[in-house]
Amino acid sequence: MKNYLSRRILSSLLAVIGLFIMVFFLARLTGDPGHLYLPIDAPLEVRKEFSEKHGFNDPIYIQFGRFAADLTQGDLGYSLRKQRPAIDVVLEAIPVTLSLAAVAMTIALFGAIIIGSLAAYKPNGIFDRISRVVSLTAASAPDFWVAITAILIFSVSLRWLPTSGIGGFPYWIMPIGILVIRPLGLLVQVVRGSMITALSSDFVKTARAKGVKEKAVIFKHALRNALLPVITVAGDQAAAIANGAIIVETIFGWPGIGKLMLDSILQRDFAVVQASILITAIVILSINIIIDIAYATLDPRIRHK
Amino acid sequence: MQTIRNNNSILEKFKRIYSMFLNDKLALISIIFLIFILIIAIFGPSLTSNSFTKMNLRLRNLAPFSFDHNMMYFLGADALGRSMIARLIIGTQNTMFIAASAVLLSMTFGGVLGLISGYFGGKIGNFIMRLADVIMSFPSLLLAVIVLYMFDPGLINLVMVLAFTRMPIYMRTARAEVLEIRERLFVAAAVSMGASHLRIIFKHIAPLTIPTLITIATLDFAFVMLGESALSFLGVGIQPPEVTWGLMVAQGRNYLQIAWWLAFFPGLMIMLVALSLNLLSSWLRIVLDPIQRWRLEDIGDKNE
Repeated sequence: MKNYLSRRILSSLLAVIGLFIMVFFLARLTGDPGHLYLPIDAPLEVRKEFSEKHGFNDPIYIQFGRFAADLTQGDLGYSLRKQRPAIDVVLEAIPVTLSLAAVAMTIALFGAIIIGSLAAYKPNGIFDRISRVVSLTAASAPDFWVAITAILIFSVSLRWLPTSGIGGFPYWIMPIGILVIRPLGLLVQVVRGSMITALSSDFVKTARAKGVKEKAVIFKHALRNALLPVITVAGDQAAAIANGAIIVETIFGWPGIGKLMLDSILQRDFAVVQASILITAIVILSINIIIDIAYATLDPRIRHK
Repeated sequence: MQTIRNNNSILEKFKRIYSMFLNDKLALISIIFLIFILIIAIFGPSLTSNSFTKMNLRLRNLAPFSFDHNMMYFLGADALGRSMIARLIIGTQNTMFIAASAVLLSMTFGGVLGLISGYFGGKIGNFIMRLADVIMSFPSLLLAVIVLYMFDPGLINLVMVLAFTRMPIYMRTARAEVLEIRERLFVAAAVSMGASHLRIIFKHIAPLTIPTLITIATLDFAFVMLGESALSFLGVGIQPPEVTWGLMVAQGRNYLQIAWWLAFFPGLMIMLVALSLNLLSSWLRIVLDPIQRWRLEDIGDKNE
């Protein structure tokens, strides 16, 4: 287990480094930031000075070397747009997205376990049929469209909820609701599938034959085994939730990492783009590693390997 | 015994598939809807060529469901008085074309990379899988935004980005299949007869992985379509005057309060097509799984 985990962390690190090199060079190709940050009629000397000061004049490999050296000291560069260290800007945005994603994922996971188990209890029953159509619809809905339709209904017509911004509970309802939809739809399918397999397995039959109470059969024997594939899929949803966060944060004006990245790309604020990509990748990979550990904890077959 | 006899004629086989469709009404409706969309995507634009760009400023933001005008205006008109139906039809062609090309590309390249990774294993195989990890571990939408912002957000780049971000799933699936197929007897036979690696991979192993890859592609088509529409919505996908459903939603967003139908109908189309693909692929998964297939077969047939 320890061996496996250390190999996993090592390969994740390699993945982050690979991604990072790619992004550094891609970002440089988007054009000269001087065009965006200086007035159009700025004299040539001012442009030169600007490039000189920020090191945009040097060959790209020297820029990368300097950047890598800074990185080893925890320095991720300086945001041109906000005139502050890039890392501060990113660390301000991360908690917003994380709290959004954590609440959404928790709701999706518990919702899926409840709905999926109920559907699996009587396959092809009426509840199963309804939940199949509803969950597939949820998995098929374009989130940006659901978001603006929801704004139209709940904010514009009914005036129940605020259209955008951050604040108290009412501000959370729509963003969370929209983030939950797709993972919930996908996870219900997974829970249902693996619960059906678990409920028809020998150990459940044995438990029933021993006269174990039905509640215990479902929650203790079947569900615990059925959860393993669910956890794997939930882990894959970590990156998907980040995708959803970009859309939701853009539409609802939340100052999270998704909106920050989108804005920084559009404004060619390289340092912030790089810092936010690095932090996001680290967060996602750590989540994946945590899920691996959870997986091993739940499944003794893996734990004892 | 039943199945063996049935397989003898193509007609019988077709009948069997048809009856399996009848036993899953939702799948039947889905396939009919998808064929309808396909026909519109292919033939629709030639029928509506004029009305797609024709502006009729008197019908600006015309509300839907009125019979006062031409049938083409049944779903209303946009801010420039262009028929919603005509625009939806043109959007169908673009949306389907982009998604289909991206799925085909990612299935081909992802499949081949997966085959190579599974067949040769070792360092090459591991490297390819790490590549899949890198692609998977990063939000695809952001990667696409970065790339499309750097290059022009045109049709070809959009297709390439979408194909690239969806590749890992084919890489992993193809690899997993190959790892199992590689150990079978007929592969050993081919090796002992001196077949080259290329021949073994593409002639003996690849054909067996195709059904699985196609099942995945059906479902992936829906994801690619959702991805394309999200990118077009963010403004880095297809650019006006071209239209896709995603772009129509984005454009309609500005008129949300005065003309809800501009954003609503294209989004509804995206959802309906994605839902049909989802239903079809869940049917396909049962049909292709011999253990579960009986659920869709006629019980009467079985007792014959």
